[in-house]
Amino acid sequence: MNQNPIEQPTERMDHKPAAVPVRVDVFENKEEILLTADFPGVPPEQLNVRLDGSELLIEGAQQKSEFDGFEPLVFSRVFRVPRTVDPEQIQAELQNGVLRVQLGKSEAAKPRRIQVTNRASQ
Amino acid sequence: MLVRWNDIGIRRTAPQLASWDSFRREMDRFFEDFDHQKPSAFARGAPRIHTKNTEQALKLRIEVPGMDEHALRISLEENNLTVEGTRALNTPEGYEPHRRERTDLEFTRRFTLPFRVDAEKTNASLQHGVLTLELHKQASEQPRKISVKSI
Repeated sequence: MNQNPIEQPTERMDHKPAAVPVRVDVFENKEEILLTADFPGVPPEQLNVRLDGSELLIEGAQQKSEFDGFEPLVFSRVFRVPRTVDPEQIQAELQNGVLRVQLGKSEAAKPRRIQVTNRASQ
Repeated sequence: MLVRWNDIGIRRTAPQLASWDSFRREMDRFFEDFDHQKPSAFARGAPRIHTKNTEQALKLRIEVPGMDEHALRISLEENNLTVEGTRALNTPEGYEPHRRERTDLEFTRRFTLPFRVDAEKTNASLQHGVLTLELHKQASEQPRKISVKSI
């Protein structure tokens, strides 16, 4: 289960609570792949969205707070992104504790309409 | 909860779309995330709630990702507090769903407070998907310091 090196703890996890796999929804249209995930209590500056080769990491740490028994969670997940995604066209935004990552497809991967020329019959 | 894209129909009806198949396989690999761990029970419908009780106030912290101020309802009747919230997740217009792990949420939590609330000072705020409620205790309910006079 743990053969993949990505699952090994890395320096970014050190001194932090164990990461909780975050739940995600994935959608797709012709232009992009859209990923949404819940990150309640995670301020934007604590969010880390990183593409490393074909691996997309989404990770965020909850802010500490004074509440009784509150343990800040670190939400994390790693995905393999298809080659059709253009690394230059990735956008992420956070709203109401929900992260939205838009992974734009490269031009070559987008469906194309081919113009049909009408050749008049002789 | 997991909705898988199914391309059997296409394969059967249009074998010439075989290249689409390989594209689909590529897409499917997006599903192979590295952690095989199941996502936690978090967000299964019960929000995480924490409290902090001080002499002056009771504070509540409720995780409500994906809910805006219109999706939440808070009411206070005497010392009964009710917090309700809903979110419905729809596939965005024009998109195909590949994976649905997040769920609709609908919760109602009732609290009977062991003190009378100073309604004037009550406040609720929403930040980064976390609702924070501050319920101040009426002055008469707060512990009072009684100075001891030596005679």
